[in-house]
Amino acid sequence: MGSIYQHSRRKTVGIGIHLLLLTGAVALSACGGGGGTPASSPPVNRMPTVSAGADQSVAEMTVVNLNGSGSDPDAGDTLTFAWTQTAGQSVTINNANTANADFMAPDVAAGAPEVLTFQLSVSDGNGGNATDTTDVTVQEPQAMVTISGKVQYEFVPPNANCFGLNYSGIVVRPIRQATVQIVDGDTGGVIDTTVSSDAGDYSFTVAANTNVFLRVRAELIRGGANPSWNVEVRDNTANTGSPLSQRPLYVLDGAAFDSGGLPMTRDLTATTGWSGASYTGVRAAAPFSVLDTIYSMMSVILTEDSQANFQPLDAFWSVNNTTATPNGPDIDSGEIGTTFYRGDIDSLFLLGMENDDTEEFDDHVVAHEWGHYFEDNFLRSDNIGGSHGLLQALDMRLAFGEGFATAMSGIGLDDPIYCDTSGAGQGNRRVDIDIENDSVVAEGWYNEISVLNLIYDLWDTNNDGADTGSLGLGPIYDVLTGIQAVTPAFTSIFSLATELKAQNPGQAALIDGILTEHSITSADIDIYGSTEANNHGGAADVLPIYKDVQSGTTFNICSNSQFDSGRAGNKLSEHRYLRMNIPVASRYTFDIRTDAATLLLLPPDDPTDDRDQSDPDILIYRIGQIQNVFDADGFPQGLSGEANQEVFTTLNTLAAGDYVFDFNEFRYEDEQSPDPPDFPARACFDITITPVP
Amino acid sequence: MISIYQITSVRFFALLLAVSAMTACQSGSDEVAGAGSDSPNSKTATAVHSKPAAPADAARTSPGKPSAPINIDYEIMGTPVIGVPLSINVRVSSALDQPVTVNYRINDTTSLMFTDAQSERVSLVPVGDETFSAEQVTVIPQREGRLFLNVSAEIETELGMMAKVMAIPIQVGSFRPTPQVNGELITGDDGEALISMPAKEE
Repeated sequence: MGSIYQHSRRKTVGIGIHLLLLTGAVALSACGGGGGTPASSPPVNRMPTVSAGADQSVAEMTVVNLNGSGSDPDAGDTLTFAWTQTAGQSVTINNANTANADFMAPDVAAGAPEVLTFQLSVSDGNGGNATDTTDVTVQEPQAMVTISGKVQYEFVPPNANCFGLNYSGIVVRPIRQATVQIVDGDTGGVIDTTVSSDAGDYSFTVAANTNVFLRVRAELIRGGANPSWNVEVRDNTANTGSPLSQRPLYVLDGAAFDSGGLPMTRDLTATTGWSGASYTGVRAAAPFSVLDTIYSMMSVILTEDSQANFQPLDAFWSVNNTTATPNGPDIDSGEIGTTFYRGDIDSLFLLGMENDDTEEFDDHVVAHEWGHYFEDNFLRSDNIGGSHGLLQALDMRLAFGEGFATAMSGIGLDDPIYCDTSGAGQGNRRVDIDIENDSVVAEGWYNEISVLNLIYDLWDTNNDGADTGSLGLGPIYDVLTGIQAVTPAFTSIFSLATELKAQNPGQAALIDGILTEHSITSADIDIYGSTEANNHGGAADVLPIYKDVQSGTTFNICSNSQFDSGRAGNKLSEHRYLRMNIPVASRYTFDIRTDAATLLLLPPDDPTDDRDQSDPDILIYRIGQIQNVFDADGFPQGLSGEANQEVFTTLNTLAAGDYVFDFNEFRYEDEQSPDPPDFPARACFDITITPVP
Repeated sequence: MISIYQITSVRFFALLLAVSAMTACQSGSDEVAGAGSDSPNSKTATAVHSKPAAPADAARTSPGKPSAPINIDYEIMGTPVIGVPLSINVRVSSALDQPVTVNYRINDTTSLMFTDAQSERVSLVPVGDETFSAEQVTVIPQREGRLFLNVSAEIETELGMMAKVMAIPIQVGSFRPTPQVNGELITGDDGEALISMPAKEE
């Protein structure tokens, strides 16, 4: 049918007038002609389309190309082209009957550009015509030219419900505040440097007719007066003979070009390298996606502290960074195990091995770890770290630190869905947290889900459940950077909530409501959680959170590994907190002995394996600072490996004031290997703390 | 505070060298870079007492990104040899009383292959909290180098399905490939090390 239709149309299009064509076709059809041709609409010639190309600015006395194009929806039509000049100083058009023509730009006066207008007409030979025009501005070549444009990167969002990355939904985002350079293409020397705007715009003025290329450095640098920052994305697995701070920086390079004599626009995009089933190209977007997430996080802090001074931060991302970690993190090889922040060198280490686990587009993961950087550099963190999983009952300092970092990721990105993808083709979900709405059965001060949800709800403006208002970030920021930094207690949800209520009495009801929603006792709350009643379903050795201690009085306390699957030593009830006021400065003797009942439960003592005996440890804190000093053997007092006791007299004088002690059974973080000795899950101790006379 | 970490790290690495020299198996776990991650994870015949970083120092290293409440541990049985089936004991534990589905995957099929009898997806039911469920997986190395068997362990939780992933490195022979570079390693005009990545230009 199609061929008949086309054949019929070809026989009639010579009329050239659509109305006649239509009339004739109708007449044929009405007579029943065409034997088998359906009595459908007669053939109608459809119009061609044409483009004369984009407007141009050109230098005088140069050959100018007119790049036209045309198309026709009717197959078989042959298009003819015709360029004509409709305005401006007359020129001779070469190849005027083709889509692509050219002409010699005329000589123009300095400072008096002339606009020449050209029209491209296209005809389909069947009466269909279309026209388009383009303007060519001719001017004298300039000694210096402006080269401007946008720098941007491709971002891959997650699929619904965090089931992998959605490569069909790639969006292009500006590379914000990054260093952009124009580089001499012959010598490699940097000609000029600028910083991209928040829209990704850049602009340079350089000498005309110079061989150059554009470079975008994966760095955010702002020096001088505050606010200031210095963020760089580097490869930890290259040039491993160099210090980490000198490992290669990622840069995005454009192709070399002649700067010419006129202003020029050049846009650079860092692409994902994804080819549909795997990464086959350079993953140029990755470092810039990491960089942009960090910029988002800094930006939200700047809303509260416009003069923030961000300490230098290196983000190490590599295609070799893998979840393998046979002997602990190996930074040089990339076998780092997981993504983490190291405060001693202010560095993020980010997974990047495809089909394993990649972080560059899991922006909440990057933001979470940046939250630890922020915590480390701006706040006080008593987080004890260590291996743990979501939903576990944690040491309250760990729960607070982790919950805070995840809440910050939602706040900084203004997106409550924390999504971590992994697996083959980055197609699986690893972790998916709704920071605003997730709730769990075992809510409480020891649960990072409770903490992250609570902090986010205090910030956000959406009402849900007991979250009927918003503090915004300001009050939270003020407490975290202010009074909580000098709290005598350990940092926890108790110190945050107590000080938030104290500084924002008008919001006390809101805070209380959200605390209660998360099974945290709000009535008479204090920084020590003294009134807390949630003991995780009646578990032993959970409450009171701090035991008040009197010097010279022997007391018994237990460390309990009941919640520690994996024996990391950082779960609820393993570290016990003691609270003591020292009225007069003095050295103190700490006498800690495994009690008789526990000794009876210990396995037989194998002298070749110390893991069958108890090992109590204690750390002394005053306003977040450890007071333990090193003994003559270079080991901190209070952490000796002596079996079944820890007895020492402080080498230093403890000043008068409020102290908290962190006491634990070290065996619970020392028995991660298979087949450990049958050490009891609960160990109890008699402790006496006395001043030296 | 820093010095506590440094000293314990030195003690640990000295210990680690000794342990490495003594053990014939490659082993590892998914313990992360935080306090406690320095502990060796195979039992030794000598007294072991490696202290982790003190809490204030541990706070300066994050415990790693939020993760499923699953631990994966493994031990490679014997020395990997090309063409010879290699058994790996994989142990999985969970803090939750839920079955764990374990998936094995080989991304580079020129590096390893499964034996015909090897299932690539198994369901394990933890015996109880803190108890590892053991599973043996057998692969056949196809070439020398640093090869990876990818393991993921999935669990249904109150927050939906979560997974823990870990790559098990299998060192066959002594060849250790040079890490890939995502672009071209170049030197800037001031001697700075750079990795040049090509832009798409418009």
